[in-house]
Amino acid sequence: MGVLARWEAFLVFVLAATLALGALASPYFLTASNLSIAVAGVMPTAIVALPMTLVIVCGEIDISVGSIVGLCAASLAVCREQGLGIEVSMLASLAVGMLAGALNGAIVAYVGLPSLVVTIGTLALYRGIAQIILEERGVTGFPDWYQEIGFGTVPGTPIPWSALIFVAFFLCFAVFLHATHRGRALFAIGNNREAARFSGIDVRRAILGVFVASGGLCAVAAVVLTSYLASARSDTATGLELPVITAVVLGGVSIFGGSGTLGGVLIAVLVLAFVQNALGLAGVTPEAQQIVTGCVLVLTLVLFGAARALRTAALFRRVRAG
Amino acid sequence: MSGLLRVREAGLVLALLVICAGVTLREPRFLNGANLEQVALSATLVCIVALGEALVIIARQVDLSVGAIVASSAFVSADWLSKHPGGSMVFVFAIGCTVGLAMGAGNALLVVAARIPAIVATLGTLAIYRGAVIVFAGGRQISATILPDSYQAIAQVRVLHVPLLVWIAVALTLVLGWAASYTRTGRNLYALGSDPESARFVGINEGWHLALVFVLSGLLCGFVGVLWGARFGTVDAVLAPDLHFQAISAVVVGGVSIFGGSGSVYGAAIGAVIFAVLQNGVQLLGLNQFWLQAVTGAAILGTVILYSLLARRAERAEREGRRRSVGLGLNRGVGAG
Amino acid sequence: MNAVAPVLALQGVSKRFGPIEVLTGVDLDLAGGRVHALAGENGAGKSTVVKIIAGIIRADGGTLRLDGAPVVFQGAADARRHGVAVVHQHPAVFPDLTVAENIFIGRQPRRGGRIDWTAMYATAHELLLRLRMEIDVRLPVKALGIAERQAIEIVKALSLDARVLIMDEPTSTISSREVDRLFEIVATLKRQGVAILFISHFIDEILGLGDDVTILRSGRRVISCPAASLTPEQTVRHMIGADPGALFPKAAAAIGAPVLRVRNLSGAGFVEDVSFDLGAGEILGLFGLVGAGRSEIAQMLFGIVTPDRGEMHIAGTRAEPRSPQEAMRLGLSLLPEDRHLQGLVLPFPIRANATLTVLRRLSGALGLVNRGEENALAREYVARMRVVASGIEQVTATLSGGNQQKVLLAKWLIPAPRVLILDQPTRGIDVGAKAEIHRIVSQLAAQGMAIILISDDAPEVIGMADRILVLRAGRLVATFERDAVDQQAMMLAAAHTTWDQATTPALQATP
Repeated sequence: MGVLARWEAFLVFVLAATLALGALASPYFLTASNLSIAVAGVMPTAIVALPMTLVIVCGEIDISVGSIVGLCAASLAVCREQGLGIEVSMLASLAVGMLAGALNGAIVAYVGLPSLVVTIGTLALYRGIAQIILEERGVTGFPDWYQEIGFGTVPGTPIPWSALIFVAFFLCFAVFLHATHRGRALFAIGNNREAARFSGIDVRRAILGVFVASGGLCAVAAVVLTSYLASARSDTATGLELPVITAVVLGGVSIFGGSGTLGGVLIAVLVLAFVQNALGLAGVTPEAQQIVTGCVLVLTLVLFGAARALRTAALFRRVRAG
Repeated sequence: MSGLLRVREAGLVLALLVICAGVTLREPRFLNGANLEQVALSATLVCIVALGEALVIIARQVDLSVGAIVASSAFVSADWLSKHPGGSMVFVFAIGCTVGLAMGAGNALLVVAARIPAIVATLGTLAIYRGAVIVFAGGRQISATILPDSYQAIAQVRVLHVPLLVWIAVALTLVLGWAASYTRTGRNLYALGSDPESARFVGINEGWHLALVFVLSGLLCGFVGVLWGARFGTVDAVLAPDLHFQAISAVVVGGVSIFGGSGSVYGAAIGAVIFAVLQNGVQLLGLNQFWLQAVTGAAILGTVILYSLLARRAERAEREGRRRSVGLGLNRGVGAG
Repeated sequence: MNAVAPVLALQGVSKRFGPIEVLTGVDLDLAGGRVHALAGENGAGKSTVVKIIAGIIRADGGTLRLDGAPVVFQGAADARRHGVAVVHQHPAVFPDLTVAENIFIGRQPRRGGRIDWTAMYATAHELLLRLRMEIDVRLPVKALGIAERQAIEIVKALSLDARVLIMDEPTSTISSREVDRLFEIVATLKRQGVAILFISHFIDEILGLGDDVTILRSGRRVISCPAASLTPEQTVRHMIGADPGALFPKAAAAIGAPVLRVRNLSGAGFVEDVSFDLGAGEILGLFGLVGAGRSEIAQMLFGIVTPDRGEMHIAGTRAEPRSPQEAMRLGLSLLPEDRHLQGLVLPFPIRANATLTVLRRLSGALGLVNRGEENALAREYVARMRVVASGIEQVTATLSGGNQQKVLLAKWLIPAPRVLILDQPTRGIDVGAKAEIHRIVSQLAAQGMAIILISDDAPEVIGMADRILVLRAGRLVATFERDAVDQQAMMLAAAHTTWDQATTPALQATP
């Protein structure tokens, strides 16, 4: 835990450096409206990163999140095409997301297959279903208040509505993971599944639960994203798994499960948002930003590894000494 | 080498034949020579990438950057050729392979030297390599019209009525399959994937072997990059966006355990062919193209569930076999107090 | 000690890690054709000796002599080249590779670039025959038991023409039946003139298998002598420096009303018709070898494995736990056999491990854990168990085995069970921690807890249990009362198929 605390301190430093460099790159960077845009743009990723953290802490992974977002967007669109109200459509899309997550979770937890393989399969399956039901149509014409979710701000402030939604979920997830017995159980499962089972933790239900949560928040992300893009299509959020997993890993969550904090993931999400925004202001194309994102991930991990090696060496010295 | 392995490959071939028969029943044109050739050609490129991916996964690693490497190799080599229209094809391949080799070496460096888990390291290089080639391309597309004919001829050459590309894929499958089963290095990869700690203990150089599989995977991707350009004529920086999923799917459906240590390169090759047939079948049967993804996903889920059921059954049989021998022991023999 | 010149000798070897001297002037002679047993508590320096001989670490002082000439091993590979091989507690094998490949991994015979499978199979078969082992060399190793895997390790050592074989606690992970196989192999190797260093926790193995015995305590050699001149009591006294009488302090306790009643329990593939009663304050010993069904019975009672048939009553009420959660609600606790795999979350602090079983109870309406209460509980039990640690936030992985086991015991005592099932509670821990755990268990019984003690350590069961049930191949085969125990008969009942209880009048048959 000690190294993680230091890891988060390091991330705060990286965040500060990003803000400083951004300010140097463009005088416009530190304005409220720009920061607001930067944050609003990364919210779908941030929302999905919350359950992804839980999934990875459990020692699993969910590659299918982008496809679930796409499937939820497509379901929403189809409901709209059928003339259903936006509220009903949103609920239907939430149900579809949770169902998709439940299928992932059931196969992983109760059939016992590796989640990497299962969710590669459902990545194709869910995207395929989204394409079958919506084909190449794009559905627009959302009510004004719906359009506000993704792009609008709380009146009188620069705070995007989507950020407010994210913060609400972030608080719930953070309290759940770090302060409740169920959250502790997830860490136990990620570290030692067998010992968790012997301790009276229902491992399979917990894993099913995190995948359902993943599906549910994918539906929330689908709402934010369709609102942000003002259109629902079957290819919505293609490739979303990459930035989401990048954010979680950058946030200091071990890809092997059992350790990490949501605070770290939050800072990582902000770092990614501001890096991309600053690069954009400096005239760097989105493709080149991708390189920088990849470099940020790889470099921080190299540093993380070096820090861990140092810490392990120190630990061994202590153990030997006493 | 065990009987189970051979049974698994026979099962895969059987599954392939069943799918082919099913498609043929509904649409006899499937067996048409031209169609079969299309299937074979679309299988080859994924197949070669899957060979490298299979070795990586057998060693308990994963390479997500294959698509980005293929695109980089394809674009860089085609770009050079468009500027040197009289250039030698050998040189084009050398450029493509060098790009692949270098990118594979980059992955190896991160996994072996920096000790970053492969899934995360190649997630990072996937973004870096893809971003690099997109920046290098600057939105350009290199179309067939500005490339010399000799380039595309690579994809059209036939030997014994079969496209050269197919022969290349078959040869690579046989060579790598043989190497994995019959060379010390190949068996060491299985040992590493099976139990890395024990493998280190018996003196297998883990770093060297992991570097080898990543570099080899990169090299194969570099090679495929050149073939990709030759086959499709037009090259841009965003080609093969889902290749890593296609390759991993072929490997997994081919019976290689995602946890390493078991499965075979041949299985991965058959897996690639199965997906090519499925793709062709969806088109031929006039199914909406949108069905392809869903069918692919269902095929992956179906096979892995089947494998796990088979493995569980084998395990149970083995356990019961051992139970029968319990209780036939002797006393501890030495002074029990 | 013996007339034969030693093949390998340590002379005045010392080693320090930082400020701590772990070995001080240790002498050790290994002679060809003899087994030298090395004994001592955990932390006495046994594993440091093994690592020095195996070339994994280098001594700071003293000399290592091979055939009388001083040598310095440059790493494990160099030691192997000099004919020193090590068989580890957890054999390093590759489950998906064949037996032959496992023996020759990394140095398979080759012909023209490819592996010569025919030659490899033939050589492997021949090597196994030298140990009188009949194993199909084409079989994948995952089909074998641990003893057979250890045999493969030994064969690997033989194929390297090892003259010195170090066996580092080879018996602690295998069943008694498999131990016999191993000992036969050791006898064969002795005849072939190999010098063997044998490390073990088991007194009977040290004295029974060793020709010579060296006992270490706190990094110093206490004694080296022929095994024949030591009694078990003397050996233990040399190891712990105290009287072994303190080891098993089960105090007499009044046995109350039956708490647990088990009838015709069957399942897990081979457990058949197991019935017994357990009273409050009673310690019921469940003695049997690995594979006898001990852990399976424990896991059926605890809801991990669902039994096929049978009934279980707790305090007169029919109970059918289908999960550990339900078993815990019924007042059961199971301290599992494998501390690392089933017991502890090693990266967790002591506190989180200790309270993992009751975390739900420590949580409020929203599931929020009450950290104050949690800390207090963890502190209380760490003190009661006398866990040696810097505090409740020390990471469990950094504790010694004995202290980890005490944390595990705390974890299962905190729910305040009515019935405590202890599956091998002292396996692989040092004598001091073992005595502590026995003291605690005895106290719990005196306070009226009903306890099932599962063990294959005969002296432990005899010392602790009020009544002993002996299991073999999934069935109860004998019952012994505390005052009528005959260890020889108990061992025979557990391990010998031809044992006939009629010949042993001190026993009574189980209903």
